[in-house]
Amino acid sequence: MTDATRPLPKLAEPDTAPFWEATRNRELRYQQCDDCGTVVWHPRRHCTGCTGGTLSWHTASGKGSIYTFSVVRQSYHPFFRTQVPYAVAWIDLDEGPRLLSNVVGAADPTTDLACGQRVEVEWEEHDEVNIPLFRVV
Amino acid sequence: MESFVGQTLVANYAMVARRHMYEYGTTSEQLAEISVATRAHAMRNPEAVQAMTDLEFVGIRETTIDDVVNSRMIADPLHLLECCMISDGGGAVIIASPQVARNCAKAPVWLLGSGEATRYPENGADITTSAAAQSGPAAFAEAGVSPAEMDIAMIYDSFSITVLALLEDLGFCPKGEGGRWVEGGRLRYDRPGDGPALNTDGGGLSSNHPGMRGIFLLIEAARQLRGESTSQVDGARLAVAHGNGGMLGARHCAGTVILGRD
Repeated sequence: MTDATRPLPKLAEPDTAPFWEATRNRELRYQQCDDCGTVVWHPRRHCTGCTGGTLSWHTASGKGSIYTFSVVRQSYHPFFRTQVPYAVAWIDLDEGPRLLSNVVGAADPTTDLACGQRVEVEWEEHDEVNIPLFRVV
Repeated sequence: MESFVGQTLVANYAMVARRHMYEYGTTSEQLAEISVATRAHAMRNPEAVQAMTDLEFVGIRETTIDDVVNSRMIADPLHLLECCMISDGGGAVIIASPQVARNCAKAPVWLLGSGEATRYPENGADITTSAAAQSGPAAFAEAGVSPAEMDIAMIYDSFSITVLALLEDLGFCPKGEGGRWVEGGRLRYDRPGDGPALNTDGGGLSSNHPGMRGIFLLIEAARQLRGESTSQVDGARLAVAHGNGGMLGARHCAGTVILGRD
């Protein structure tokens, strides 16, 4: 069980493939509606603001803040059970998307994290994809 | 596309609790009030005590706020005793026309109002507000009654924070004031006139939670309105039952029902 690895996304899924492809260049991409300006996250076919279909890809700065978080103390997953305690968080990117990710690098996530803290993306490298994690800056 | 995160069900709700604490100063001690009240009700319900016994709960007794906040952390800031049990269970309700209901062996319980709503994660949205903020007002308006008139509140209690957020969204107190509002044992069955009695069967926290908990909200509400609860509120006339499906901090749906007796 100790050699279990992080679950990785399905790269061939039509709506999210462009997002994952960009991570290979360490680009954090999101969609925005050309018609009404709504920032759309997760990636999808239609605008969540006007239900239109004219979405363009943009690259985020990777900077944002912790909207809220929790520290998982107990997990039954073969990989994540080896990672406890680890922080899960909703990250509000400066450009608007709210991503679910991990906040890594805290000496003690149970005491060192807070809502509102500024964070920056930190890429975890894998063979065909890089995973966007975040670190307090 | 979030499988890489290792999000857990408890952490999803815990993130709502964390944000509620951040925005409104809510404390773990205030959240613990919900666990303490429901456990007190559970200890009066032999079926709840049996369930806790079968599931090999450690320390089957009434709890204190200290017990709750000193129990093991599962996903910060939610402690073990703020998490519901996982049990078997099943139930049924029979819905009939008034003509049929009046001729049944049991006294009828009237469906006075209902509401339903869904809510999704949104960029920039307030995670502490649930779909109950839509379904609740619709149900109360149809029934022509107000939250302050409720004798009984059967509120889905997957976790302590679930109840706190739902009480606020249903209109028992303004958003953000739930922590102070539940203090002092306000939700206990033996504090009539001071707010509704919460989950008088013991709730999902201490009675049963087979995944589909909603049916038990309706069953216990009906028992209260018929005078059959093990934590009976004297003269209970009005009850609200509110179910939450999905996950509070993400996609979820809400169903609110207002029930009354003759």
